[in-house]
Amino acid sequence: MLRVTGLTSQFRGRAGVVRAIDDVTFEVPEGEAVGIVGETGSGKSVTIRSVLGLLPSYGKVVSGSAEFEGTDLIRLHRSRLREIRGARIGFVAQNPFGSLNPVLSIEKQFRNVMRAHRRISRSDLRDLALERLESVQVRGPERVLRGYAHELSGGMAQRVVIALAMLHDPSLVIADEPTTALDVTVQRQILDLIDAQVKQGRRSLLLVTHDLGVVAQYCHRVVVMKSGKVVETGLVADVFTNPSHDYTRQLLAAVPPAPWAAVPSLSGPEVHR
Amino acid sequence: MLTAPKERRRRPLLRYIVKRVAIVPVSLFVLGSVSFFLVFLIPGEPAITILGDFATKEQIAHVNSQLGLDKPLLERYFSFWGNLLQGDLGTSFFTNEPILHEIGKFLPNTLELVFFALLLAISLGMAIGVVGAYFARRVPDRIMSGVTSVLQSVPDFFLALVGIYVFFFLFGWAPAPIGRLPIESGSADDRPFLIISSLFTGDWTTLGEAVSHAALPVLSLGLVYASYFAKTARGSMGTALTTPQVEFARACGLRERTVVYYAFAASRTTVITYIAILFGSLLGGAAIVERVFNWRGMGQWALDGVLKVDVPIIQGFVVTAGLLTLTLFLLLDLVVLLLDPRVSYE
Repeated sequence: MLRVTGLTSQFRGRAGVVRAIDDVTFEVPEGEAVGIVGETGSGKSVTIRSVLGLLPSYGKVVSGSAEFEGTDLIRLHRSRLREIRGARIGFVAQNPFGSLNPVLSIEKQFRNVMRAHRRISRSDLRDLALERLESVQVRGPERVLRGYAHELSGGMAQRVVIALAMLHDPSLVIADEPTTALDVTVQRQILDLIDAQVKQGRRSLLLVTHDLGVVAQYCHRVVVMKSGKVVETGLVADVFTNPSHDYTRQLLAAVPPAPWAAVPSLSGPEVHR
Repeated sequence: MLTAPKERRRRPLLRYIVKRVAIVPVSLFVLGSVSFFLVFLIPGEPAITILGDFATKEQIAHVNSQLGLDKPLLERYFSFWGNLLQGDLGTSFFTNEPILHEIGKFLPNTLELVFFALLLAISLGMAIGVVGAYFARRVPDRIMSGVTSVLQSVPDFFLALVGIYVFFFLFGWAPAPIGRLPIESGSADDRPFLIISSLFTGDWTTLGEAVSHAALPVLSLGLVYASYFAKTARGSMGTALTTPQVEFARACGLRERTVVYYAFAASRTTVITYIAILFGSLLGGAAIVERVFNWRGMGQWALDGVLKVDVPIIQGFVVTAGLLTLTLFLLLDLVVLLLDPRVSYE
């Protein structure tokens, strides 16, 4: 599905060239959920942005490849990559209010995302958008569609973002800390929702997070990153019960003991192929 | 969850507009009072400027009473307001022309000049800024920021002089800087909004003459002011292009032009605000350029008025420029209101 090999990216700054990620290698097998964990600045976000070609203009992938369904995204022409983004790879970003356009109505944003890949009539799009909003449990979808992002609560806004990301039924979903900006009360709902959407559509999921509990509960595999390098990767059950790297051990030890910590599901969810 | 249904939104909008318009008279009162008292801070006495340095005390007193300058300040203040509210801005101390008539003569010239200069400044400046922002920290950005710095550091009147030297004196491409039309066209020069009116009446020869005469002043103002737009656009677009919003738009596979439009929509209020600010400053700020080209605009007129301590001219200029700026800012606020659904009407 997605095979990232030796990915190395650099940023040009005032202080010279900074290597943000170095020789990152991991794989997202079909129908599986993979979590990338690591502290802030470990290169999780740079990794997925390198894969999607979303680095800022002063950043650059210098070597490595990211093979998605047989095509190397890194060497793909910008316009071809654009055709894949949003259509075959869905992206759920961290902050829903940051993601949605504040001055365009939600309906207009659905229309723009739709038209980027497919021609469709206005009424068909409306029906589809309403259906998708319902499937992500948005209440009063007609009203939401007419309205703007700032009129939504955080949880609702992230549901809209998820609906937009899933609009073209992507085979891979990349979620970049999708709950960090949300209230604790809705974090679990959103994660369950992403999980359900991924499973229903038999999609693969690449989930970036710093929450090991989340990885334990929703992912089959885990990639542990530190200072731009992958320090450990493997099945969640193996890595969490028998960490081979010091840093993974530290991360696991840093998880606060909580009665609801998802210890029983350490084996991860079932693989659906 | 929706917090503001559409039905409940309409009335606050109206209330906001009413409130915003209600501020205008208050601002006008402050503006008028400031313009009245400000001129007393200017050194110099009009009577002496009119009569010359060797005038006797009696002559000065006579002129002062003619001009109404011998009356107590408060009385003059009230009569100033009485006249102003009736649309009477007084008459010039020197030409005895009604100020309103003079403004009617000079304002259209300036408006036309400023309009085209701003048009050039906006299109050129936005292009420079957007290219720079799009290629942030790369070669095009460096080139564009270099161009911006050069334009910003050249005074507009200097650019005007260089333009005259090169394009009129050396190459002979531009007409002599003697106004809006060649001398032989005589009274046609007095027509307001030459370019626009000749465009609409289909008077192609006048249009050609007017455009060639306007080219250099518009260029020298437009190029310099383009740098301000370039800086603003580079800054606001640069920020907008790195926002998660733009990133999400790209991640959804939107085309680059849609993405740039998203960033533009996010930064347009800044640019629109700048248009209003620069328009206000150009009304009088173009004075020297107007003078260099003998454009007979507001700035040139007000500058002469200041030099001669022609109090009604100064007051008239301040009131007119202030009124125009106030109106523009009112329009600006309403435009921003329409463009951005987030603006709160409270």
